Amino acid sequence: MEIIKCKNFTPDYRNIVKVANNEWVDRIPLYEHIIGPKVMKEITGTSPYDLMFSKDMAESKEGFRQYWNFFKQMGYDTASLEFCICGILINGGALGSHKEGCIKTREDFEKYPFDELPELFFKEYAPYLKNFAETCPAGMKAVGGVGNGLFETVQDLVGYMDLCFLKSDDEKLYADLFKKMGDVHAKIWKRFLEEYSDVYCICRFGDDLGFNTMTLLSTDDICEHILPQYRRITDMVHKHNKPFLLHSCGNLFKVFDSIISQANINAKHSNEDSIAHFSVWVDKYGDKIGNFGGVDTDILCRKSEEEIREYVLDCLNKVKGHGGIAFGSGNSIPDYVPTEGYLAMVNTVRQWRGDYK
Amino acid sequence: MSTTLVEMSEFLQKGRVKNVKELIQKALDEGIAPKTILEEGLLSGMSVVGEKFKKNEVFVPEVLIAARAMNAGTTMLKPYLVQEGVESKGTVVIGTVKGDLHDIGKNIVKMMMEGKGLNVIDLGVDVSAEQYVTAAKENDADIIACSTLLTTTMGEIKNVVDLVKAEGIRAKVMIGGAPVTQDFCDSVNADSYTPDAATAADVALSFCL
Ligand code: B12
Repeated sequence: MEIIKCKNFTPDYRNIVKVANNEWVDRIPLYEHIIGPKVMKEITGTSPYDLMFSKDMAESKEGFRQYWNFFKQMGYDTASLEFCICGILINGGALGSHKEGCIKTREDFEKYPFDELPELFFKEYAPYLKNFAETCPAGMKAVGGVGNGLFETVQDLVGYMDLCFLKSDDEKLYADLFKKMGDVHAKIWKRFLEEYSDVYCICRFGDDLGFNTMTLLSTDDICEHILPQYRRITDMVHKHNKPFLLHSCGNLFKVFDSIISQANINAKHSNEDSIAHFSVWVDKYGDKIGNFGGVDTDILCRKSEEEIREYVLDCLNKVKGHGGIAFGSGNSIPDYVPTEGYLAMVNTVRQWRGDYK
Repeated sequence: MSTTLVEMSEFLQKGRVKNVKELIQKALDEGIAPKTILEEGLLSGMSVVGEKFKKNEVFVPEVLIAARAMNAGTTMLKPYLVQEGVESKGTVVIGTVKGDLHDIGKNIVKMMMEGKGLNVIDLGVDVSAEQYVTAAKENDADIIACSTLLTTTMGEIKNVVDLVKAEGIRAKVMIGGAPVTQDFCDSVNADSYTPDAATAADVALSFCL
């Protein structure tokens, strides 16, 4: 495994802000949605995730320092970090932990303590938001903010299948869930932007709206119940003079023009080759929004370093100059991505953009 | 075909449990055989939804509510079918492979297979090769169906195929999920890959005939 040390790299977050505003930048910024602990440990020997959320604030700061350093060392202008709403949801867990949904009826809905959530969010995360901000290295800023989009948080309380059933059993409750949770999101984002967003140069949440062949809800429902709530957030983000990046997986082509116009996003991340190569997203939407992404996570797992290198160069040459591009994996770097594969991608981009000259 | 059954099939496609149940009662009162009700009222409706899903003409929620109406209908009909000696068309053991927690696709495949009149035993998520094979033996299953959504867990499918061969059980291994391809299926010698749940149910049925 080869880690090319580069003494001359000076991070400059303004590059990626330009990209999010759909401007091509020659020193193409690297970008990842999430990088797992294994890859970080194998590259830097540190385990920031073990420390970042420690009750001991000195330890927590050390964790965040290590986290920022990883991104800096690898040639990123920003570090990605979301503070996730699903992490504080009372009786959540239906999305990621296979728990039974806690809202099934109007009565469950009326009883659910939605109004406590914003307070809970800041009680839980405020100290860590501060530590994260205080350890930010010169020239860098963050991408992220309040994690989990509306669809994911609603699923975490109801469960995907039960949500689909609710649509047919009690359409009013189905609609009210999105509205009520939308209010919670708006409240949290408002305070987050006012008090904690200085360290963030691009705001983002992740909300997987699709899968291989289509969207997980009907496109009409996405337009009616989800996008107007996204818009409340993007409007606030824009008032703070920051661009908004949406991370959303799946085949979204049927609804993507509405996502751009109704939700007014500036940039989008997530791509998979079984749906469309990154360059297809850039061809289709590169005139309107910045595109973040690149190498399908599957490729990083299965291909040799040389094949990854070829894939990256081919992809970069296809998308070069077509609006704002930030480059990295199409999804994330979970622990099952071999560190060699990740490094092959990063080193190729850095060589291509001239870091090693 | 009886208008009651045509109506039943239409209500099933819209996922209307109450109407489907009422029409089953009406059909029974009219003296229609339970097996005919199952095939021409319920399974036919589910096939229409499956075909539309294959062509991306309906969204997942529509498939799920139709499948739920189908299940409510078959549960209601079951005692009558048993009385008539109608047996399920085959048995499937299904699960998401070890290390993988994605289950929406697996649940849809399960419902679609049930919609073809198959008996499906759901092992949930994070299922090891041993668990599939043990359940297949215990239930004399015709099929083991493995779902996987992560590149890393695709390897577990090979373990399932190898264990099925090593144990000499008769179950066919069907595989699917976002990263799975026909090439991968061939490389691990699984019996079938299909890209969507409706085709999976068709293939499963053909393995049981
Ligand atoms: C929703 C989702 C999640 C949810 C899962 C909720 C749940 N209860 O299932 C959550 C948020 C928890 C999640 C977590 C993760 N996810 Co995820 N997830 C998805 C997403 C967006 C949709 C999956 C889905 O539900 N599809 C809906 C169903 C209907 O489709 P389907 O599963 O493909 O099933 C259809 C067919 O494939 C087929 N089929 C399915 N199973 C079977 C079985 C048989 C036998 C047959 C014949 C057919 C068949 O029939 C179905 C209907 O037609 C996909 C994107 C995608 N393209 O699929 C990513 C995706 C699968 N996830 C991915 C990743 C990386 C992760 C995480 C590692 C994220 C992270 N960094 O932590 C974790 C892993 C957790 C774990 N250990 O499993 C990557 C995997 C990349 C790869 N190649 O390895 C994907 C592809 C996203 C991407 N852009 O790259 N995820």
